[in-house]
Amino acid sequence: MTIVLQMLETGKAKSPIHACDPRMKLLWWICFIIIPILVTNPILLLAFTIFIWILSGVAKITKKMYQFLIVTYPIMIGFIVLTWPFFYPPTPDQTFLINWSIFHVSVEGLIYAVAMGLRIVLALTACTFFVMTTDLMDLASGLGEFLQNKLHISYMYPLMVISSFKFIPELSGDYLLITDSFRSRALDIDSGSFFQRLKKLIPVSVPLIDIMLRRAQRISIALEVKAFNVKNLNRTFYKEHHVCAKDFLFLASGIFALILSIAAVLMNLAKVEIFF
Amino acid sequence: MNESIIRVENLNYQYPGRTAYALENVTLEINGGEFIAIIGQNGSGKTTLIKHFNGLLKPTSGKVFIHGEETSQKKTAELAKFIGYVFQNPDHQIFAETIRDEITFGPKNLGFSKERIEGEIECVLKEMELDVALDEMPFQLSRGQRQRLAVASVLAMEPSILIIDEPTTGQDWKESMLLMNLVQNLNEKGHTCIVTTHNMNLVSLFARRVIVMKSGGVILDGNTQDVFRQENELLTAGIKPPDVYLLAKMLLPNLQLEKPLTPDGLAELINNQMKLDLL
Repeated sequence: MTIVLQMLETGKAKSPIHACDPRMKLLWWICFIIIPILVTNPILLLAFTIFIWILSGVAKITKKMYQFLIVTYPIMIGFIVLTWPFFYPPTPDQTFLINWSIFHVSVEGLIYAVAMGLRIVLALTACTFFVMTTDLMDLASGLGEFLQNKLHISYMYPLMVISSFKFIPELSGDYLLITDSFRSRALDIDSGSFFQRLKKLIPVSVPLIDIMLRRAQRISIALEVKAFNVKNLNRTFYKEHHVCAKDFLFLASGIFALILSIAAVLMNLAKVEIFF
Repeated sequence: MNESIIRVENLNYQYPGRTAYALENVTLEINGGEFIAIIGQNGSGKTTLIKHFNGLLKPTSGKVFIHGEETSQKKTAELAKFIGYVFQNPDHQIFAETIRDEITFGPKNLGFSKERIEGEIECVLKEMELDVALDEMPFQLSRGQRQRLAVASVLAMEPSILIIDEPTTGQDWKESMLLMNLVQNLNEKGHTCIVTTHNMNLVSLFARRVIVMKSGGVILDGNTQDVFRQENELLTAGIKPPDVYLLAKMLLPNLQLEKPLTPDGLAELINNQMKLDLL
């Protein structure tokens, strides 16, 4: 929970990339989510990952991104890299390192495993970069403005998203208070097996849900008394989002990477198999 | 009951990720049977301090001893048999379907026998003047009743020290007085009671010792009347002495006697003054 909160806080920092329009950053992120779906070429995947790390320097979040990814990279890719070689379908033309009974580990399988791992690395890096450079509340607000003014969709939907973001730190604070109150009544939450600890959290969940429901009810009343109307499509926005040249420049880097990937697919250079 | 039961030595505490210290060099001693009010502005460190008493927070440096045992070596669940901690908002702890289950939760965690728990239920409901059915849902009780139920569910663990964080927040005067009178009864029966509050009138009525906190440190510590006399120090901590004290000061500016701290005391003082004037 603390890591998530820290990541969300980093999204509010100041840098040339933080200052870009959040909607453009969303589109940029979508580009970098599509790329690992199209590409398995490890060199391309590595190049795009390095590009994001360079951008992280511009956004001044390299250290924080490193602190988060140094923990998550091994967890996310470890399983894939360690298990994939065993499931890579064996063919006679492969160079086998182990070829016994149902166990087959070949050089090709290992390269494929590394490529699969790099896909996860790229997607994970892009997601982390996006979250750490984007104020999610600002994004929801910007999307709301776009949805209402351009597509005539009520602000209620982005408001729901904004409210849920606001709930996260409050929920985290409530959770800590509630667990403290149970510890004070001699409930040893931190010891025992995983299932024992899970069982001990059942009573904790009741006041947490109760408080969440009460808070949701209070917010809905507060919205109503402040004239919030789901059907109102003439709502104005205090902070208006305007897309300018630097936003397009940032988005262009994502689109360029995507075009490069599509070109690699068309030229049959996108697949890991070119190395076999 | 005058032996030291809580000892705090050079306590410093820094919340993770913060640069400023929430508590700085706090040293104090609390004796058995005391009724203490810890007062101070929001963010002065009151709650941070009392959370050290039952091990919810561990000192960054310095030591806290409860009955001679250092809290940093103990889990909160272990310290719960000595220290009952009632949170400001009862809804942060109430979870059970029935009042009976709510009260018996703590004693069960401490391994009390069934007979002992049954006795506790009856006793704490009586002490907290909760005239409710044991099978009733706690969430259906009024705010004041839920607060008293929270105290009852902590009392059921038979702690010798009772800490109540902001006991009167969100309650009307009648409920506040009822709760504070009940806490005073517990104190008279031998419990050491520590409350944090912003209500100076209640402090003047009930507390016998006051600890004033400012920016993570203790700036005043003494008996209630002595502390309220330090008007300038209190003002620096953003605290206004109780209304009755200020009224006495306005009505009797030349009064050299000890200032009254309760309405009854003030009335008696004015009566005496009037009698003197008539003579």
